[in-house]
Amino acid sequence: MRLASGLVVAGRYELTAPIGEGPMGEVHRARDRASGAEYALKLFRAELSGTSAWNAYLHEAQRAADVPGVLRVWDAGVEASTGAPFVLSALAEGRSLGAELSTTGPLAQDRAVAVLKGAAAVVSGLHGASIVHRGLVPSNVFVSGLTVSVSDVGVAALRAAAPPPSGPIAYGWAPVELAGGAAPAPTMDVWSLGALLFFALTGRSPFVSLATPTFDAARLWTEMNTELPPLSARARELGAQTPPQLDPFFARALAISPGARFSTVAEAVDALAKLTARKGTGTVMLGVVGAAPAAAVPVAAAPVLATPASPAAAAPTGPSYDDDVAPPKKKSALPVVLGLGAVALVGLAVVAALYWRGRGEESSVSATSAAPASAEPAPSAAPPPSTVTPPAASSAPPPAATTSRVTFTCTPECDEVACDGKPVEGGNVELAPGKHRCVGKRAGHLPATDSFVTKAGEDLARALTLTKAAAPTAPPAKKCGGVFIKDCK
Amino acid sequence: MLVAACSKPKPPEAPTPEPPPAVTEEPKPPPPPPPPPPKCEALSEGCRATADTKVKVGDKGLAFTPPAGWTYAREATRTVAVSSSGDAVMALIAGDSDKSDAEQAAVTTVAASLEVVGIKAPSLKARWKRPDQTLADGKLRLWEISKQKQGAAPKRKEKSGTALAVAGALSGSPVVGVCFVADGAEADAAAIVEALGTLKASP
Repeated sequence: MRLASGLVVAGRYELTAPIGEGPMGEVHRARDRASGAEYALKLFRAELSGTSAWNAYLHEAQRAADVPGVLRVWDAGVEASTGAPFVLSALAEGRSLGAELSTTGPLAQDRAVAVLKGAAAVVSGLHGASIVHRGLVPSNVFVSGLTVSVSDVGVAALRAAAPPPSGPIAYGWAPVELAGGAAPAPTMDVWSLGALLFFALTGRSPFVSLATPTFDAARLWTEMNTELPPLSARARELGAQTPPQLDPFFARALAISPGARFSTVAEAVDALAKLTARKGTGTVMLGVVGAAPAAAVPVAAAPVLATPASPAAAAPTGPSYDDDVAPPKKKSALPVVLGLGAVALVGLAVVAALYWRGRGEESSVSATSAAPASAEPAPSAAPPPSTVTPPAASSAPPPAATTSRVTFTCTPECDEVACDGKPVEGGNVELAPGKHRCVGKRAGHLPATDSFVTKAGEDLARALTLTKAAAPTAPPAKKCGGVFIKDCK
Repeated sequence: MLVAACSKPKPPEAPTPEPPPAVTEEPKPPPPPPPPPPKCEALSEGCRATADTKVKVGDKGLAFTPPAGWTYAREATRTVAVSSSGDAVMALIAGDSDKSDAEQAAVTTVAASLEVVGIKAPSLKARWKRPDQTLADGKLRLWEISKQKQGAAPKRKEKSGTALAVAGALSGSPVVGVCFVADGAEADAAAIVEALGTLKASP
């Protein structure tokens, strides 16, 4: 560091803490004595002062000032004691990508991809303003959560015009054509973004020669002019990992030929989104606890068997309002087919049961209406009318009764009783000999069905017991009174 | 002797001291112009919201008024506002689509950008068709995400609290957001909901 904290630059900006140092100069945290605001003050090499390259840099930095995500340059001048030109820019939130990885290690794929998308959004904004960054490196991409900002716009022009001892480009982070002085093109930043994604995933540059203790410029140059192997293999070679699914992205982003790269940042991001959307590439975003597990058999098959007398079946069958349940998979037709088959079988069983019960039992009381209406046994046909014999002489025996009187008692009291579909008045009814089916009903109770056989002249007393119907299940009440949600609007 | 004494000439008067030489001050260079007003594109700029503040969300004409006194910024990928304590935060983005899957994915992204963790995606998906509350005549839907709702409380920076997912489409522009209040900062929740109520297309 050349300058110490406490130095006041340009009579106004007090250096408060060093931030970093690089081949182009040094960066300090600075406090504006006029406003108290904190900025980043970057000092460059003195020989750059007043040069056309310096002016070009300031011009590009000014043009980039309105691009969202770019750390804006607020002021520029010359530091008197050293003659070093400086720029004052907004202080980045968070840490640089390089600093982040130096403490946390390589990022998880979802986070790395998200960070890259954030950087790509900023770079895309630069391209929209006809500016190519050309100098994206892990130290000028800043990350705070998933908010990404970028600094050093225009510095590449400065570096190319007055190369520092380390060279005209940031080796390992810029494409090879940039070292040859090619005109700025968006594909240059595409290449750098690809290298940054690899760095975010592995903590390394894709070039092996940069991972060796001794820097070999000739070897690096050879590497930069040779197509890279699949990056998942390169990552393994470097002792790291990248998902093989991302190899196609890296192959295009880091192609040597600019024409083989994604032509725009947006195209690169789209390709990355498609690749990471595939199963197994970890598309779950940060903060999400697991992915949805596979659902079991859909629970929707049951309702087809429900009957009006089965309130529980009428209750919502979906996941409860607060349940942490996996969403059901798309329903297949199979459960429906099985359900319909089950209905048919149950219907047949009910018909058969009622048939045999009608034949085998003289009477019975049923308190269920679970049988579908279509399965109810049809009332027996009325017996043929008896021949009416005119009254004989009084000495003749009384004519035999041709009907049976049936009296009903309900527990609790019935609202109505009907036999063979005809209402019964006063609780008793004259029925012709044969099979009959009577039903007693009361509000709030399940109907009581009574099937029996009458014989001519034989009176019957039938007892109907009604069962109280279960109260319909109320839908789950909405829970209100939360932190944000105070009412149930 | 007395005569002699009386005839002794007067001592010469002390010479009047010359005025000190004028101090010639070097002209001070004019101070540099103050930095232009902040653009409120980063929280570090310290822009404080007032009742008149309108902050854009995305680039499709939506804007809202953050809670008064909160620090806000329209960043490259989101619009964010933070309470003075830092325990309450809200972020909104312009969505890509008003379809459920896209909305839920965007909620996840925004939550990650706020470093809010512990939002259970399956739970949210199951609840997506039934928002807890709506604003803007039903166009903006809200889901509270809490321990009561999903069995575990969301967290932000190691602090448990309650989150709020926001999704909808106003004037045809999809919008998605996530808000969070840490336990103990529940009083800021009402300000957040009120701020969401100001979200609309800006002329």
